[in-house]
Amino acid sequence: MVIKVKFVNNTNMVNKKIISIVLLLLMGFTFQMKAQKISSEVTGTVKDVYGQPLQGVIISSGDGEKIHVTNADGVYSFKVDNNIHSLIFSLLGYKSGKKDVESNLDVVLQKDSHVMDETIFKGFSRQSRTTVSGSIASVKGDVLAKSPVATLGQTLGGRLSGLLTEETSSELGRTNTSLHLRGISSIRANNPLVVIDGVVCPYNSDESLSYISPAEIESISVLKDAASQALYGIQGANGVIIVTTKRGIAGQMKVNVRLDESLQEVTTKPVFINSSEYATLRNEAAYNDGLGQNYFYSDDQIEKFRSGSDPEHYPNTNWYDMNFKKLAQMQRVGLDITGGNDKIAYYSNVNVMHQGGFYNVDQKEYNPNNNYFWANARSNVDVKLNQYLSAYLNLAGNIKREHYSAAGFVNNIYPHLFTLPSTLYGPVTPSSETDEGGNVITTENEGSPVYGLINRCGYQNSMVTNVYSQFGLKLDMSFLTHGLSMTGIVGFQTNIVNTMATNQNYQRYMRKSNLDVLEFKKKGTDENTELAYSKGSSMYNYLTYKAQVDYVRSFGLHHVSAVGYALYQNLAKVDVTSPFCLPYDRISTGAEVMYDYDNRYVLSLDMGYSGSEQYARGHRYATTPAASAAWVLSNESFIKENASWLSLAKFRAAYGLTANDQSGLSRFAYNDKVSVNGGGSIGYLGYTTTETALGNPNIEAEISKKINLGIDLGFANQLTLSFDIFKEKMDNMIYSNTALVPSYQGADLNIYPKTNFAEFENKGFEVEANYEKTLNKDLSFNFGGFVSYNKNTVTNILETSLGDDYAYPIRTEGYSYGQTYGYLVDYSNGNGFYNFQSEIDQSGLDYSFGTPRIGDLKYQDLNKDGIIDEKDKAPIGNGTLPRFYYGISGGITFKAFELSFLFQGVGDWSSVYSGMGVYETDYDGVYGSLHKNAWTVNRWNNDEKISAPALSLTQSTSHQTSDYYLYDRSYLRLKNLELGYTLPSKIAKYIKASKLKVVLSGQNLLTWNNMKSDDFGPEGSYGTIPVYRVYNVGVRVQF
Amino acid sequence: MKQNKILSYIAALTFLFGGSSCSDVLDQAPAGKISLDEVFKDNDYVAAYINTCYRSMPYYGVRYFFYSRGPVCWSDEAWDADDLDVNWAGSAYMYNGNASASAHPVWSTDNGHGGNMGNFWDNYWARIRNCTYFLTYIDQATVTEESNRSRWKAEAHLLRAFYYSELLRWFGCELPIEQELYDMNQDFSMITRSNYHDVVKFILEDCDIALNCPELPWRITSSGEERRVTKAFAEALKSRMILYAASPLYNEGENYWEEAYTINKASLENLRTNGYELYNAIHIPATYSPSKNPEVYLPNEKAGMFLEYFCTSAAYSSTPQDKETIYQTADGQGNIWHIDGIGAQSGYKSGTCPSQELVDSYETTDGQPVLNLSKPYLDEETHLNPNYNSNNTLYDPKNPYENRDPRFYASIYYNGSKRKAWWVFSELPSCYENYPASAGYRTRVIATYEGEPKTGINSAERSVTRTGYYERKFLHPHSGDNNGVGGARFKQFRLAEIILNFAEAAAESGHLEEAKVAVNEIRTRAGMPDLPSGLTKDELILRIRNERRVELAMEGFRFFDVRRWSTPDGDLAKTDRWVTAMSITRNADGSYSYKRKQVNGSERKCYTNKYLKAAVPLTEVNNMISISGENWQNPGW
Repeated sequence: MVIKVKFVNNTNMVNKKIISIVLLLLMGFTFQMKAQKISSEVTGTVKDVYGQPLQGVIISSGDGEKIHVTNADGVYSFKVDNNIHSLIFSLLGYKSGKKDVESNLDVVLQKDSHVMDETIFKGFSRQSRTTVSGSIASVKGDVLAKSPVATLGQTLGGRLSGLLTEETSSELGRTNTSLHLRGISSIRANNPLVVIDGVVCPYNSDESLSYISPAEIESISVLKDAASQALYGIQGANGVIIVTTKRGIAGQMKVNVRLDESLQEVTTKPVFINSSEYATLRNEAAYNDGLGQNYFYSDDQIEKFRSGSDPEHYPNTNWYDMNFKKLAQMQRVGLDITGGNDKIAYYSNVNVMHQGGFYNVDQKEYNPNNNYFWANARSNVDVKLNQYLSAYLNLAGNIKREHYSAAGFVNNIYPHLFTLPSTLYGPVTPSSETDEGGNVITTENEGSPVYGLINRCGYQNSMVTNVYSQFGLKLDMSFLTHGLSMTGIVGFQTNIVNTMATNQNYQRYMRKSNLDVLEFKKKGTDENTELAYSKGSSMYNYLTYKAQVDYVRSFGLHHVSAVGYALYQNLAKVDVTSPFCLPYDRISTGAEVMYDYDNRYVLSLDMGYSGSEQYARGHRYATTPAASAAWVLSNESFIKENASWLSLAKFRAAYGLTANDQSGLSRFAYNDKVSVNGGGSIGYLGYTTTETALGNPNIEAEISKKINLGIDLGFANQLTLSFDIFKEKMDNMIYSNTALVPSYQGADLNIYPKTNFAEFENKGFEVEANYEKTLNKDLSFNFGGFVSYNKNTVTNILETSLGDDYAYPIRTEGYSYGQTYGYLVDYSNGNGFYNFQSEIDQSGLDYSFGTPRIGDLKYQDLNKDGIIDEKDKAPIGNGTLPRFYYGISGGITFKAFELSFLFQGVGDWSSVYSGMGVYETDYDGVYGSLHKNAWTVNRWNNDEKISAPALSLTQSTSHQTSDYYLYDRSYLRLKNLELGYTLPSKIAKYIKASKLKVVLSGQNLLTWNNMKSDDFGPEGSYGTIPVYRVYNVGVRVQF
Repeated sequence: MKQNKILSYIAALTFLFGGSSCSDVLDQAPAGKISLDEVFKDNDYVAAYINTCYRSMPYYGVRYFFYSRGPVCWSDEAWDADDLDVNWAGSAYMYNGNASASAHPVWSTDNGHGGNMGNFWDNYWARIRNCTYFLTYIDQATVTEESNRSRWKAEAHLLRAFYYSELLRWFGCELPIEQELYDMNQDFSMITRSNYHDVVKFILEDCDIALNCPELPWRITSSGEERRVTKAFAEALKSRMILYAASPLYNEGENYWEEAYTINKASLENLRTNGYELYNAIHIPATYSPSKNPEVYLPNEKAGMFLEYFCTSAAYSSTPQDKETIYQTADGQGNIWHIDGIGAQSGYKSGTCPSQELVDSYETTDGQPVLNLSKPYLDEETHLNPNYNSNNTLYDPKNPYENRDPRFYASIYYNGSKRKAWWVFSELPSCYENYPASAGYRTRVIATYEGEPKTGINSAERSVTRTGYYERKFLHPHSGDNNGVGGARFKQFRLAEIILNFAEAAAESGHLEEAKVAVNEIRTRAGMPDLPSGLTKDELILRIRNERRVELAMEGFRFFDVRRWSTPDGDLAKTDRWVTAMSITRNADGSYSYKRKQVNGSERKCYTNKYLKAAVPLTEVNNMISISGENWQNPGW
């Protein structure tokens, strides 16, 4: 038998040799294997110091292999091989206990508030928290599962120090949350790498995360510094999120059932401008524009709107309430089964989620309302094939069936709830003797009336099938040397989306201008059509091969562990055009060596060596070394003996490189792209060339240098404190350096190659604190929280000055990514508006974008040239990301009651808003609550509150990016609250359950913020669907 | 059984590891991508690349932004009737002084309307790079026929020379000479600029290299090769650019006139030797000969011939009827009756409206200028009081359009002239000269007096004249909506220009007799008498300049001529500041009264010193300041 092993070109000769030898030995040894074992029965109970039985205590062999788990009564009973001499009993939050094997073994576990015995999974390697020298935060799946929401991303906010979450799209059932770990490492603002069960999932990682339900999660860790990221090479620089799903543990089959019923409502809702208010505001705007009083509506008409005496001719239509439901429903059912024996262990999970619609629909022929079903199933099976060889299979499948209006998802429809004025009769034309009516009413300016979008466009069905499977084999090579093992994994993801869409068009009608008669005229040429069907599909698949060698061994007080891996990834998409049809490939290798002496002195060396097809030979591979060290002072005997109150003291330092290959380059950026096409000036020559890209053969991965310093402190085994400060610097960031390239050199600057020259910096700190106290067997509580701060700066892009006459001629360097520029309002007169005509005249200012009226904003002429223009713009806000973010969580357990809460917030974040609802001129005038008190002469004279510049019908000089529209987006939110009650066990036993618990929970219950109005919340804008508040009732049953 | 199982495990493991990679997995040949190296390894691609070098050959004519004649309308030759509707770019930008270093019609205009001109600065530099790139790699390139390699090389040299000449004409500043390619790591702070004369010498060198190529023909003889450059193109370019280099604006105090004379003389001789001569006969008498077609409404055969020449594309043949045209631009001058003729004819726009100043420059048939050429207007800038030439006995201000140079009639529609074509409207009673008549193919009197509802002078619509005149020079006599004869190809270089270049250089360098002979050749062809004898050098130069103005009217020369004749510290106040119109009043008896007036009553702001040269794009200037500390901007911008 010939085994042909091929490797990355000279990447890792060491690996190659090791693996070749291993394979040869494997062949030799496996033939001699025999499944001969002698075993003996071990039973016992595990309890805490108060005598309460501990459920879920993991019992493993001395070398870390999980064997069994205790049941709800803390009882265990299993057969143990006679080559195992000691057992380790571990439970998160308790100090592990190690006992020699005896037939009857009762164990008492001590509380460990510092959870130093927790094993942290870093994606490719494991480490006990004691010896972690990098910066890692982690959270358990059962904590995340407290959030009654549909997607995993929504559960992460406030749970992990250093992880910034922002809900960027809040559509129920398909929320999108953007994740940034310690901010961003380059101006690309890339998301962190997601690693699921040891396999990197860089493509569509947001989506890949959403295919996992919180209930399946064992833990999530975030790797924040170079020490923990270096191993990931060209994919590590943006941080790494390690997702570990639950695995089966041998023991009696356990079944968990979760049932949840949730009601959801929006957290914010723009103010309703009733028809008399609308008419008044519209007149006010016309008056300001010089069109005179009562340009649109007479006082008499406004009075009719106000009194509601003639609702047919003078209606007050609330388009929002008419079309949008106040409450939407969600149901979730989850079932997981776990169990196994000494040969096989399994964890299976099925979750079904149903998201109900959120529109009030009025369509009899079909249902255009949203209706999402989402089923995901997972089966993680571990099999011990023989003494040395074990295998596992993770199979996760998702079926997402989405039914929704053909007008699209809610983000396409929601803004149109506000575009029609409340003075408009609607939603459809009335029937009469001559006309059956029923045609959708809109205005001249709105082509997509919301009623039509929901009810007259058709519907779509999308079926998303995502299958993610991993198959791994692990060979224990202790027959060579103790502690050596080898693992091979194949990961395969297939994602298929099939969409069947139906479309129809509909007639639009407009009301005629005479309000005293109810008459309509047809708008445009649209006609009512039958449903037309269409079909579309897309897919991608992702293949990963990974080989890994592990070595874990202790020599007395010296503990050594090492990992070496090689990874090949291949992504194929359905694109048919070159170069996108070509597969996307990456190769990564890396090695890590960790050493500690007596859990006191820790040293870790990491090295990634990885390449991407993005770069030319010779520049393809990036080396990312990192070194880190820790000193666990509290494990020194002089502390243990003399200052036992100092239950934890640890100092960490790490420095290293990480890299990024997602630099916004076109594919194969090292090559020129020249196309040859027919035509050209000279027909005789037949063809002409077009250079669409010029290659930079020297382009290479961006390297981020990162340093992290940390201290962990613990007091009296109750209070844990952790501090980290970090700094990241990238000085080969890829950017277009055309500032130093004149156009006269002839190559189009738009296609001029980007180079590795720009510089970027990111720094910050994290503080974490946790306090945990168990007062007695009935009462315990914990409090904790973190604050993270990060600030990035674009330090060098060779920016060209805009000119000395600019107030801020340099607009990127020295500022954070995404810095906004706009005018500064001159508040020297008290309110920032021109309150008299003479104030305008005396200002001596020319606006380059129009002529200000009274009630318009007065801008600062920063360059003192008498002209307000581009040159006067100043930095406003502080970039695209919040600088502070924090979470505060806690819980109290009293007898059978458990209460937990999570507050989450961000700070130092402000952005300039514009567009519909902020400006009032869109469509037929869309007024937010601030416009009700817009500047008018009367309000000014009467000293009334003024909350907007003078209204206008068209763009005025006030509708410019300025600090007037700067909104402070910091907020504090009661993100999650859960109250649980475990019913007495005798009740549970009625249904043969071992545990029965009911929970009441809520998500996003309260938000405190500084927004200028309550029309929209800090994450969204006037026309985007707001974050939802969720009320949930759930039942948890364990059999 | 057991062994099988184990074997399968091994196979599985092998699969896991062995499948992981092979050495060149990241080395994928990116399909669909050709690198520049590969271009020069394929004969057809090399041909495609030289074709790319041609890409920015300008269209000229009416193909400046928004179907405008660009520099014709920015000079004292004409006023653009699109000054209202396209007031955000183009001519209006020049008139109202809004052109700036960040937005200038020469390079900030969109190229979607009006051909391929686009951003002159970027486009010409891009092509210069293409040419240099081509010249760098052509010797090693895969070319199946050596004669092609040789000719393509000559073309690349010539095209590079031409693009440089365009940059000089528009921007007139010192320029870096790109003889070798810049590489990706080029330190541009080390690149120096050469002065105008040195750049012209570089242009001449490139032209001479092309002229030494045996494979480069003197004339394109098959339409498949249309638009390819020739030796004649090289001679014409040399003639033009050495004349520019010698001119006051660019000569930096040096006297290059003798050099200009010598080069022009040689070029002219070479062109004549190789078959170039003035167009001298009507070839389509049924259309252009007034004796055969009275409805062409021209006074004589000379005028018919002159109009025919500009309305007819030159054929590609070894024995063409048109032996005057040296290079004509791409087709696509469009439906010029619709965009640049008499706007009312099909209801769109008039475009180029010839100015009173241009009309004044046409002599009377006795060869006397109408105005005193040394001081044409008593009010030198505002042009309302003509300073008539006291020797002229034929000109009658009350009948100003009688007894004029035949080229006047072939170039301009004036009040009372006639045109037979398709008119889309029926006449109103107040169209006294034409009422009644319905829409259709008919003769119409072009009445341009104040108040004429269709073609009368007016400043408020794009379809009517601003000046009292309409352009006729490029307009087929009967083209219209029923007879879609597009504009002929624009004659970018023609022998008449070279003769006039030579005449100017000869006069300036003191070879007065040769200069006079040359000018008389042009005059004879146009049906005008010879220049009188005994002219002083200065008088002769004034006559040559006026001849140039008349012969090359509305072909885009005047804009550059008045600039190069200025000194660097001068301005264009005497020519370009006030451009006038003829305000004609129709009297009750049907006679007309003539009164000069200022178009719109407002001055043009594009006359000041800074308008002698176009602004270099601000981004480029800012870049260069940060790269080298050197300010490339032309004075005043």
